Formats: sequence, C-alpha cells, structure tokens
Amino acid sequence: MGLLVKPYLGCNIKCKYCYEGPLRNVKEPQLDYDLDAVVNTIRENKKTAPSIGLHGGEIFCIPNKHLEILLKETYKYGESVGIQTNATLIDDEKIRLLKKYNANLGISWDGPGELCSARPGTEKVGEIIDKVMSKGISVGMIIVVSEANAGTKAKREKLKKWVYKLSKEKGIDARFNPCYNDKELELSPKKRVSVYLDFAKFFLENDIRWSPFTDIIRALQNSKNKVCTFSGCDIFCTKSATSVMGDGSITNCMRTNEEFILLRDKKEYDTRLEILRETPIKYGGCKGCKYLEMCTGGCPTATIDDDWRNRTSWCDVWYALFQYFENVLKMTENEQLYSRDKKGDEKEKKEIHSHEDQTKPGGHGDYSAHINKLKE
Amino acid sequence: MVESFVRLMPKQGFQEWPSLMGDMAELCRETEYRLVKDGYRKATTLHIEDRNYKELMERINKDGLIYTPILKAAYSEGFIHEHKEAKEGEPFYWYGCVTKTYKEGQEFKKADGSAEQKKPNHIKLGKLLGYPECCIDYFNKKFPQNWDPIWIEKSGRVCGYPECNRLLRYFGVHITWHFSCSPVCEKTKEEGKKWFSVMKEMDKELAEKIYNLLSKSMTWDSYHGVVQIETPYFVGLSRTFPYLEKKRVINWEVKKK
Repeated sequence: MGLLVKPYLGCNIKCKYCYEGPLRNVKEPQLDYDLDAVVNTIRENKKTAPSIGLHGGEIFCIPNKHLEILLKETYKYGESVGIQTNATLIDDEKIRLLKKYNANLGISWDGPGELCSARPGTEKVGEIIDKVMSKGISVGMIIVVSEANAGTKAKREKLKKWVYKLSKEKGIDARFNPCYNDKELELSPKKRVSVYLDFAKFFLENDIRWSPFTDIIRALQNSKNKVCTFSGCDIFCTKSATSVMGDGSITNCMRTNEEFILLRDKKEYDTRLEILRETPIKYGGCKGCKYLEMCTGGCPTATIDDDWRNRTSWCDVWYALFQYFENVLKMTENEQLYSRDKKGDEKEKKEIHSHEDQTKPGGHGDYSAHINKLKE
Repeated sequence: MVESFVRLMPKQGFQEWPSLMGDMAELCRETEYRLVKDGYRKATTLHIEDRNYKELMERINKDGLIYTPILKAAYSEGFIHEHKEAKEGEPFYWYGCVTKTYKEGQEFKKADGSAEQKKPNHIKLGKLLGYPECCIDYFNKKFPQNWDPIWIEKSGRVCGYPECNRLLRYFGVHITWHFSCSPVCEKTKEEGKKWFSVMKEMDKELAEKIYNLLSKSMTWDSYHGVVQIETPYFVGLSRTFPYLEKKRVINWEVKKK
C-alpha cells in the first residue's frame, strides 16, 4: 500500500473539480497538523508501504522547515520520496530541498493556455516544469480530462499536441484521469465515449503509454499491475492509498471522504465485487458483463447514484475502451501491442517486462510522482 | 447474496468507538442472560464456541440454569438470519438456549425447529423470549417477506423511542432484543425500561452511553444486500436482506417527549 502523507488539506488554488473540495466546504483546513504524530505514523507504517508520497491539499503550502522534516524522515528509508503538487509554489528554496532529499515530482496540470482554465493560477506551470527538469528532478504528471481541456474538437487537438510534446520531447509519463467530481466540468455522457476512443487511438498510434489506457491493456492481460480504478478497490480499505492525516490518523483514498473523514478499516473485503457479480446491469450491477473481473466495476467513488454498491457511472467509457483494446489485442494475436516496427519487437517486449512487474498491484490514480522513476 | 460480514469504521476524532461498541455489545449480552437468571423471561439464545465452552457451562451450572444445545452451527462472520449445520471438519459453534427449566429448554428447541430442519414457530419462540405480543405478531407476518424486518413499510424520516431502535443490531447494541412492531411501540418502550434498569445495575455509565447512542440521529441505508449505518461517531456495515431495485433508507430521529 502506498503511504500518502497529507498533513494539510488546504490548497492555494482550489480547483472546482477537486475531490477534496466537499471536505473543505465542510471545514476550512488549518495549518494545525501535529508533525510528531504524522512522523510516528509514517514510522509505524513504513514497513508495509512500498512507496511514500507527500500529498495534499497542496503540500507546498506548509512552511519549508516542516517540509524539510517530512523529506528528511522519508529520505532516511533509502528511497526517493514523491511529491504530488500543483507546482505553483515551487521556488528556488523548494528546488534546493527537492534536490537535497532526492525527491521526485508528480505535477497536476491540465495543459497550457486555455487548457488549464479549470485550474486557476497555474498558467506558468509549464515554465516551472522546464525549470525543475533542468535541475535533474524527475517529473510525472496527472492530467484531468474535462470540458475545460477536452470539451471541443479544437481543445482536444491542442491537448493531443501537448501530450505528444510531453511524452516524446520531454519524456514525461502521466495519468490521463477523467474528471468526475464536477457536473459542469465532467465530459457529458453524450460525448465522452467518442472522446475517449479518439484519445485511445491517438495514444496507440503515437506509442504513448499512459494510464488509464495501459491499465486497460494490462487488465485484459490479467495483470495485477493496474491502476486502482480497475483493481477491485474496497472503499473502506483502499489498498492503493493509505492516507496519513495531520493528526497522525489513517484514512483511505481521499476520494472516499466527502462530509467527514472516515478512518481506514484494517481488513479488506470483496463485498463490492460480490454485489456487482450478482446484481443485474439494469439495477446498477455488472452481472453477466464479460469485462467485470478486469474492470472490477470501476472506482467505487464514481458510481451510479453516488452509491459504492453500484458499478461505475463511467461504465460506458470503460466498456468501450475495454472493447477497443480487446479488438486490438485480438488483431495483433497477443503480439506486443505497441510494437509496429518489427525490428524493435523483441527489444520492446523485454523493456516492457523489465519495467513492469505484472504480479504486483498497480499505483494509485491520484499519485504520479513515481511514474517516471519506474522507467529508470 | 453477499457473504455475511460486519464492519465498523470510526470517524476521525472518534477512534475509541469500535472498542466502545464491543463493550456495549458485551453489556447487552449480559443483560439478556441476567433477565433469564432473574426470572423476568423464560429463555434466551446463546452461542457457545469451543474456546469459551468451559467458562460458559460452568457459569450456567453455577447460576442453576439449563443450556439446551440445538444445532452445531457453521461459523460465520457477522450478522446472520439463520443457522446452518456445520459440515464435518468445519469451524462451528453451538447454537442453543438458556432457560430456568429443562422443560422450557425442550419447548424452545422444538419451537426453533432448526435441529429437525423444520420451520420455526415464531409465536412460541417470541413468548418464551418474553417479547410483546404485538411485536411477535409483526415478526411472524413480516419475517417470511424480509429476514431483516426493521419496520419494513417505513422509509425516510422515522421518529421513535430509543428502546425501539434496532438499527445497530448488527453490532449487538440495543436496549430490547426484538424487532419492535413500530418505532413508537409502547409495549417495547415498557419492556425497555426494565431491560435498561438491569443494564444500569451492571454498568450505569456504559448503559447511559448505549441509551444516548440509540437516541442520536442516524441513517440506515439498505441496498443490494448491504446495510450501511451512519451515526455521528462511526459508519457500520453488515449483510442484510437484499433490496435489488431500489434502496430503502431510514433517517432515524428520537421522538421528542
């Protein structure tokens, strides 16, 4: 389980679609965390956590001296720490700390210009990305796909060009996460299937291996190494994310907490999958769906009627993508999917299998700091 | 149908509640036993596992009571609505009843029917367990329709007495042990007074915490065979009767005096 350290849930930009927004509306977060308690919880849980990340809110809102305590603590364990951030508060002092403690960044940004209109105040993040990369800091990204950056054909073309540049020119890997926390910004059900299929084709043609498309291929190949969305997540014990709160308590993925923070159950259950297997599709289940064991009903926080006992409200998109990639796999007769250059086939196969342990669980959808590290 | 289970997760700031609920459930079990010992009711059910067999049987003997084993039941986690016979080699517990006399124990066993795989006589069982007649009648009629019959015609805002509140039954916390026929059943309220006084004799502070908890607003949300109960302190889950097409939600509030 990845340990996501979230001492402060406040944020300097407060994007409208942020899944922590409802919690902030109930109670405005304060910088009142107990660092000793946080550090103790990290120590107690480090052994069972394969990775550790500083998360938020916006983690760079906390004072640098507190940031350094957390970086120092995680650095002790001999692995680099990941930091998920909106990047707007990165300055020279923060870069110095990142370098000192061998940290890598996961940057959440939806693109340059009008593409980032859902993330006010992030217009200069492109420059910041260039700057931190020039200092040798590894960067992964989360791009939230919404009306703001994919709502029109023109925006989608801009987004594709930017994605191509990130992947091919800068060598950045990213998660291409759907926006499902804001009804105005979420792609409408009418267009989202065609939009996502269009993106799937684009990623395939350009050999860009980003989540969720790679996760769907892995799921079709029965790999356990796939994003939490398709891993049968238990909403009361989210195995991909162990979130450490500012008081040192442990909760689940923050998408599960809306009006209050519910602490994490110690034991994981398969109850949701049991329900979905037995409940007919017309009543919100997945009975009879050929992709159920691969898709696992999707994220339990993005479901029909907002009830985790139903399947995902994005079933139309996921089903279409599973079908699309299944057809591609059939056509290639299980040849390496992305290898169109026959000379490169064997080399590419070896590379992929050396990077991705197919037996290990995959990552958390809201954390991208380690994506690029995995390639090294 | 989902596997039987029960879970309880505290909200941030209320970390002590899973342990506190365990203490409350223990007091509720003790109260049930005590009411038979004191002769207030004729019978109570009791599950005996291998690990606590010696301790419980010695206590029953010492108290001059009778334990009648009914079924060697298959072990299951959490709330169940029927006992299934354990197969050879399976983990098991003894399902049985505690009574004052051998005769009452045999009457209970016969009415229960599980040993002979017969349908239970709910009316006879209810009388032996000391439940109000109106609630016995309600259970007898509703149980065949819904094996978790919490006021099955009701949904939305429901006001009632804490003594009638069975929404936390999956975690073993309640004042009375039967399904009340109504959230404002006066007979249940009367029974509850006696039960509550016995509870207070054993642990006044904890008994009052139980009463206060059952008086709090809470939501009981049943859908697809899983019920989710939210209180101000925790969220609990259990297997339940499966509402397939539409969920049933009870927003519980205590009836003002």
